[in-house]
Amino acid sequence: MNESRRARLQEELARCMRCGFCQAACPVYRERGTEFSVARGKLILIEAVLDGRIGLTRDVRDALEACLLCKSCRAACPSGVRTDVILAAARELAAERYGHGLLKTAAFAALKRPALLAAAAGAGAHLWGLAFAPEDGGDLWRLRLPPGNLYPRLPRRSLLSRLGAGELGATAAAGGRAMKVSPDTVRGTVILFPGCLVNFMLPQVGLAAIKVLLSMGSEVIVPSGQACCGTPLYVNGDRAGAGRLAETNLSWLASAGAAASGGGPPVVFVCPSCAESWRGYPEMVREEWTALARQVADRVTDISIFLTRRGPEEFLAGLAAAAGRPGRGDAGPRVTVTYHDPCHLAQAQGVRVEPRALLRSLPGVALKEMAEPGGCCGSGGTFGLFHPDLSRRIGGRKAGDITATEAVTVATGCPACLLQLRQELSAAGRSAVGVRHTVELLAEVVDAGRK
Amino acid sequence: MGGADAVTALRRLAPSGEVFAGELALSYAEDATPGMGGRAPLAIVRPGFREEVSAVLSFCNREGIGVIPRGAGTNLSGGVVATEDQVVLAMNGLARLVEIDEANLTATVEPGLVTAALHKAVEARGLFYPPDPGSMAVSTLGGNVAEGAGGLRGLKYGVTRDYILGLQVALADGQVVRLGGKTVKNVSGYDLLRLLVGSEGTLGVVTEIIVRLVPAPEARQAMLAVFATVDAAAAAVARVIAEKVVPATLELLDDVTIRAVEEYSHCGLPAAAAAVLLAEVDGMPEAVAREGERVKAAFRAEGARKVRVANDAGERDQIWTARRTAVSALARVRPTIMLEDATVPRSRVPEMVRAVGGIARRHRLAIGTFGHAGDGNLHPTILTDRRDLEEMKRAEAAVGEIFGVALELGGTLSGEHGIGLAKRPYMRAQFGEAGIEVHRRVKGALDPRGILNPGKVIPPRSLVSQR
Repeated sequence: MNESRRARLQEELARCMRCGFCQAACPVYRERGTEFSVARGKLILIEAVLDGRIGLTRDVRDALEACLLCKSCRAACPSGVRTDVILAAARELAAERYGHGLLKTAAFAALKRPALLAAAAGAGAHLWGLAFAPEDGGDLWRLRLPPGNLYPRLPRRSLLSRLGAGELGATAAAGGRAMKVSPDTVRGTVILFPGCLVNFMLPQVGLAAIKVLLSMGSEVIVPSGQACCGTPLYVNGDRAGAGRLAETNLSWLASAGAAASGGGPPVVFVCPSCAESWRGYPEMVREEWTALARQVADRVTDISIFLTRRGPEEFLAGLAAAAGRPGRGDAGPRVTVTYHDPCHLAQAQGVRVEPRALLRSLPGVALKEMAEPGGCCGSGGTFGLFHPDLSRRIGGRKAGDITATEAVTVATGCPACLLQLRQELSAAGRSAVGVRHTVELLAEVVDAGRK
Repeated sequence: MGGADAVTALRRLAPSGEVFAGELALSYAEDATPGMGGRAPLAIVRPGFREEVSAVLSFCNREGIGVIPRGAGTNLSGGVVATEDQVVLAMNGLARLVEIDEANLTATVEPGLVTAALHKAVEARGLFYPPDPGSMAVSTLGGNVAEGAGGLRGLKYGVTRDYILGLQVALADGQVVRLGGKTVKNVSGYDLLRLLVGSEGTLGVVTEIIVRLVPAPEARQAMLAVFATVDAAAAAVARVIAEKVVPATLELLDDVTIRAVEEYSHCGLPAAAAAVLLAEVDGMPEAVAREGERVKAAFRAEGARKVRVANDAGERDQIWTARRTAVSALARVRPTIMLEDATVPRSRVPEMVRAVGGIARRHRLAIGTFGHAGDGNLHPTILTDRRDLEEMKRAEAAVGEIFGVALELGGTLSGEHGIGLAKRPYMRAQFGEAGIEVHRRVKGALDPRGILNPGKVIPPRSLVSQR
């Protein structure tokens, strides 16, 4: 880390007034209760490392690792300290010193090469059980995973390969650099960035998003060469690697955008962590990319925001028309659905109202709030892999909140939360509770209308 | 005893808790007081059972190791700042809500329970625990007791001290005593209960607390009034009191605070106003309606340019957002804020506000003043940067002068934040040598080896008052 970035980091650290209010927001502090688990304590340690009062020891490194990067502390901070930026930078220092470890190094190598990642995911679909039955030491030993069921088996085909095969009527565009799906009457264009989890693990979420967008008259363009958004690298201290991925994505986006009927279409996300990452691209990329990164960052939008941009009523009317039946007013039996606020959507982007408005608009759905809808699910990307017990405790609390509502389905707006919730509900013996992305429930209505 | 030996011994004494030292202990070196602390304590002990508190105290007493009891560490006067040879006793692992006794209107809690969690639990049963310090979302009840915490509702309901009925306390040598109980009346022996409340961890470590509850008010009415001068606002406060109305809350924001709040939260404060008063009356619906009218009339009679009454929960929320975000808003203006709480009799509030303005000009500092005008407990808040040592010097000089003025006006150094380390140098000015000596004798009687939060509250003999 160079001097000017160090100075900027110190400037950011100085804004923490040590009020301790982050304690109320932090899911890790709630379980652990120690100062070094919460942002204030971590910032004290980071500041001391920077001015040489303490070394960046393994204890300190481990304290920095024990964070979900959920950004709840940043949202709760009276002084507006960008705790997530500070932590990512501190992890960069830790990585300079200790490296990333075997597992992360291997994972990052794959994430940095989209083609390799796709191949690995393809192979992984066949070899899944094998990779997660470790018996040797080192990083793999640390995982201590439950046998084979942390994530569902990988689907055989990714979203991008299914679209490439013409599913939903997708066609190649922009000289093969994008795929395009068009509605009967085009009323606008969006670029959809599915992200890795949706592409490789939950392609049905991507397909659902496309169906809903089509039903609203949006032409959907998907860059065919998306790279990882950079989040896993950035939060683990590989800022340069994340920056290169950002540049790759920006270049694909630029050519995919050329396929759009109008200029500068919105970039729609079904993964709030990806969206957050894209918003941070201006600070990640090299200088020649910053202008484009800034311009794109302004167009980043969560799908729930995009769908309700003209008000939920209009969306409802459109959806009802697409479904060929009345919406909110219909009197059939109602199923109870509850909604989990993903940290990177609710805390980081402040999006809480729109997904609920969408769910309430669904015919036959009664939305019932759980005790703490904003409580973290414990996923935190790779957090669960390295802190299984802590992740389990946080997630167990969430599973309890969900089951207490007696909802048949829990909806959420984040693929990582979705996978974690499935795992936690299953561990709690409640695998009968459906876990769906909000857009999947919307797409069901669209499908019902088509039949 | 070295750190490693101490850690080994402490692990044996607190087997269910957590004990650690080294770099991670540095995260306990500071509290919310700017510019204090920075060295890792000898060890951190986070007991899992209250018996372990006694064991640790008994050991440290024998070995002569200082012990700093700590709750959430939101102290604003350096109350839990530790040195390298001291052990921090992190009490937030003892956080059970033992019982809510609806027949006796009490709740029994462990010291690590978060204040807001108690609020939530008792309010679910139609009861009310009025003390509401600004940090209540994270502060612990043990910390509230130790600091004698106040809050916004002090004017009508009083402060933490007024709600503590019983305490279980571990003494310096580890012995446990029970003080008070569930009875409303209790005059047996000395009032040691009240001695412990606000003792800042220097006389004993609280291990269980019995608090008094009251029925939750059925109705509330909030309002906001804009004044052309601070004097007019202060006169309005005096008139409300003269009208024999005691609002639950009566808060003042000065011009610096108003501008910061409006810039930060856009809640509709007139940026040009010199002062704003926020008031809330609560109780039975009929009484609330009548009292609300009287408060409004009092505001108008003193020249309020505008009085806005909240018609529903949303509007009430908007009014209180202005007050709740005051600290946040000021904190964003500069990196460091020094939040003081010198308190004066409420009739002297206008003089205090004017004096603070003069001090700010003389020392070329930005000071925003807001706070509990109704009970004279204002928060002059110096906006500075802890890295600018020259400005920090001027800020400290200003703090000294603020204390001086408060004492001249018949007030006190601290209304609710405590003395800790930060205000020790001014204790002589308030108590004189004889008053300090009384403090020393009490401390010596309860903690003869001086292991409990050493050096806090009482100035050492060598420390000469700056005034």
